[in-house]
Amino acid sequence: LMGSDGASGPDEHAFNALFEAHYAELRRFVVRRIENRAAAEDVLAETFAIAWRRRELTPEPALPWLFGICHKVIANHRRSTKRRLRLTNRLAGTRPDVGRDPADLLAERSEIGRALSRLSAAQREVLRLVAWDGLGATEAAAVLDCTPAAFRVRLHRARTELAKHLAEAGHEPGKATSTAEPREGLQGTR
Amino acid sequence: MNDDFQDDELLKLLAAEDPASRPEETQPESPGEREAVRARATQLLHGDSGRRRSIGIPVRPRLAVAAGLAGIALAVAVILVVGGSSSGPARALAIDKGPRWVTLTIRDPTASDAEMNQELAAAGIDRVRVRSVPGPQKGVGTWAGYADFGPVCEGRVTRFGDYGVRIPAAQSTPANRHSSDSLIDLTVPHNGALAAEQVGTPYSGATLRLKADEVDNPHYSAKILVPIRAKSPQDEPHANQIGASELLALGGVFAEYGKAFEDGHTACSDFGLKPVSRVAPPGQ
Repeated sequence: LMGSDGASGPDEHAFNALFEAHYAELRRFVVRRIENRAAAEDVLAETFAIAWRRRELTPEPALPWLFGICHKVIANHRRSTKRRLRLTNRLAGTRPDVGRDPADLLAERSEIGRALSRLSAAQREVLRLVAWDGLGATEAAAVLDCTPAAFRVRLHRARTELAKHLAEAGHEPGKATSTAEPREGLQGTR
Repeated sequence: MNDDFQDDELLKLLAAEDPASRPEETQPESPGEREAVRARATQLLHGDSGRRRSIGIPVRPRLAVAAGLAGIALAVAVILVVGGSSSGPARALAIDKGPRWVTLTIRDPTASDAEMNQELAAAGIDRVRVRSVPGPQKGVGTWAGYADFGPVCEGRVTRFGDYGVRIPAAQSTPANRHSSDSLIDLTVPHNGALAAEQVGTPYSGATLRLKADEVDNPHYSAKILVPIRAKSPQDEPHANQIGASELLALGGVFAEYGKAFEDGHTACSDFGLKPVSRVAPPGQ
């Protein structure tokens, strides 16, 4: 790698600072989307490696940007997993365990989980960014590489769809207030 | 939840189901996990140093100690092998068979495919073989990628591989789609822009890592690994392609497929396969 002499100390320090500052949040982001632990670790490592290579682009705050990188790495992971699945010898009868989307596990447990599992992957992701990752519209839009206005539209549609499936199941989640027009500029994640 | 949405009952209901707040389901961070991820990230960065700008992180002391110990162990192993075995030491590849990963590192970029394949066989790996391709000088000695290889029945057509050879810079062109009547085109782009990070591939530089439970597991496809070698005036026009004769030369399960190609026995029924949902039209 990178020079092994003392001159690279500050960079190592900076890398460790980036890693330590965001590992826990990024890990939660990943385990919300990938059940398989080994795969989750791979995704985390790759995300940090990419982030470091592009560190000159790091915005402030960095977390939504890191989530955006991670979002793409996860998408790539899923694509490559699907490719491998297609190559599984059908004679074998069993399919390799590629790990489920944790959101699918909810379907076995709760009504809202079942409703969530009926949404498209894109709609799930929109809701996940808000409800689980705790992002505001601006930060979530950065993750999905779209404008905040576009994100609000997607959120509105996803939320409407979720409510529809819940209603079909006879569940009315209180007086749900649509937040398709959220307030701007709020920072931070859980 | 972010203040943007704190009044939304539906989202609050969903937030309560957050898997990350349920350690019994998502497994909390384990001891050593963070260090392992950090080491893996550093390894990814290390692997790129040959073709990217230096990024200035020194080997961590702990890794340096581990590397030193590994070096000593390797030296002892080499001495033992040289002194007591007629098969000779592995010199083309460093093969590390761990519980979760099989890690393959190119040690000698000038080694032939036959040498590398011999070392894989000596390590007890039967469903992974090497087929090098000529490429840009700066890429020599690195892995361009690998091709999954195994029969799957789609429609009435048996396909032998993925719909795109896993070479990052290669586009999903018709040439990269291979079926029973075409070849695998492993052409490495002339610009050598192998950007593994952009496609999330699990390999980097001279090191390639395969999941241990997929290697030599008949439930998974076999794999043809593709190192980049130096170009040679003797390279034939089809040096980047794998056809029936190349498969026959690789032996084992690959030769079975090569024989099927040669004999024209590539219908789904020839492999006892039942059709699954068609992903792409036949012939593409």
